Amino acid sequence: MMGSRDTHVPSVPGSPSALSVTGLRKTYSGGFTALYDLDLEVPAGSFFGLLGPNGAGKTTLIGSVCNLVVPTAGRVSVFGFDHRTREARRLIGLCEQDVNVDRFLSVFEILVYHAGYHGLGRKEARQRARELMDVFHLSAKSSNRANELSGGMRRRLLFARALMHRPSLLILDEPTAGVDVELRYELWEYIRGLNADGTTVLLTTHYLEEAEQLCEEIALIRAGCVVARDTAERLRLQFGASDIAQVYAQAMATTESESGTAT
Amino acid sequence: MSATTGGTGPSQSGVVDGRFHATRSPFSWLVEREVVRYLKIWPYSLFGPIVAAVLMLVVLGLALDHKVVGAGGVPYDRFIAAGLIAQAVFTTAYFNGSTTLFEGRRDRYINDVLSSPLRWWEINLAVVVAGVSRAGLTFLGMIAVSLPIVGGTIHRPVVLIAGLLGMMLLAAQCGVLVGIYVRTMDHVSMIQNLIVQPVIFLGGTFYSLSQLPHGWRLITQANPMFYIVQSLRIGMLGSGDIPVARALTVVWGVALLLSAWSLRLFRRGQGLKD
Repeated sequence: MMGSRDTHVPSVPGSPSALSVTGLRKTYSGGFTALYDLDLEVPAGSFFGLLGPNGAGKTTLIGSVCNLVVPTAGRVSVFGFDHRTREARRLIGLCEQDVNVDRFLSVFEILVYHAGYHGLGRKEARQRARELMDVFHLSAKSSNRANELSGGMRRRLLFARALMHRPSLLILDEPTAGVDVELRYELWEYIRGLNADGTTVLLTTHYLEEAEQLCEEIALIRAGCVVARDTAERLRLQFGASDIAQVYAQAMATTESESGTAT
Repeated sequence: MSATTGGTGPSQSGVVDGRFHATRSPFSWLVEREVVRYLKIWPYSLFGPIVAAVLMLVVLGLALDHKVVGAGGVPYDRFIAAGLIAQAVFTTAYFNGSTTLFEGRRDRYINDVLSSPLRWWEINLAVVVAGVSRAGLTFLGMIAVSLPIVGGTIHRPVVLIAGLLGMMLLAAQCGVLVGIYVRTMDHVSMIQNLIVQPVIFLGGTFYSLSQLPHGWRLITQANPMFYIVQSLRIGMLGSGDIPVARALTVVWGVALLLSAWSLRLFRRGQGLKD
């Protein structure tokens, strides 16, 4: 399954980092600060993991990058473009944590309109939609609406939608939450292939062992700050841990005792 | 279709954005999506408002036609036709904006649009264009059905079109604002039942200003719907309770005011982004 990968990855000249975040702060209207002057660099072409507990600020960070959250302060650039520009937005593919698909449209239409929002023509959009429906085994359901799909199919639809416009930076926000083991491995295999072909992947997940296996670099985030960042191997050495789960537990405990916060 | 949408102006406040190029304009895709949305539910979105308005015209117009005379000696069914058309068209444009935005926010699929290269004003404009097109189809349906019933011709087509366009813009932006501010579908219905419907019914659809006592005249003249009904009535019958310039000025003034408010919210992402 999902063996037919699209190898076309747009080149982005002169861009050292796929994602550059500097001093990013987000304070919501209620006064809660989700991000505290966060800095983060994601190298182009990398498979980057972002780990942290619920409420750590991962989704706020992703929302800020993708223009779904208005940052209070800081700077975000995508392959050198300010994240608010149309070019930056075209370069990002977002697979959100929640299944948020247009309930008025069929599977095929959801994919085609997404491509359209990113500037593709009708012919190319329809062709691309057929390709990805084949890849993600959705062709038989092309005329169905999303609420008629199983949970696994909806998740595959989100993946397909995120890839419709051939993004250079693919952001996956807990994409396999609630997905069965078989589909999870299939999705990882496909994403790993995309990364091998040059697509930068930013992944948040609660499955620590998967982050360890997949990601070249991992950043641990807690209470709106990056508390540790390195390869899985170096993090294990740094924390004297046998696996990433121990690293995670120690990093979170250390931060908690240092900051005196508990969420 | 081939189009280039790369602009050199700022797409977001203070951001120079000139590199993006598209095979087809994302704006036209979003307009198409919005039109497809209401066409898929045409029995509710188009047929329903026309049937409801025509039934009211038939029941009220034919039942009271020989007992009540409209202002200026116009038959009652012709007198109320303009107001009923205004009601149906207004409600259609209003509902389109409020439901499409609210549902997009509630189910969060609006994120797919907000994270795309679409510009904030393009998103606002696409929703408004779709609402206006839906209201325009309702208007054509109403005219096609009601004119043979009540007879007569359209006396001042330019005034009718100017009033109609102003009303559709006003109603569509009104719907957009409600779609941004409401938190539940109950709020949408509540605003429709407690604000929009009373405003419409007190807007002079069924009576002339000259038939009201002084106090009610003042109240009626404070109601924007009154000017909407008047502009359509002047367009259809050739005369109304107030001068045409005053009616059109108020309709377009309110429409532009609501548009400025709505665009400001979109520019800031208020109600759309966290």
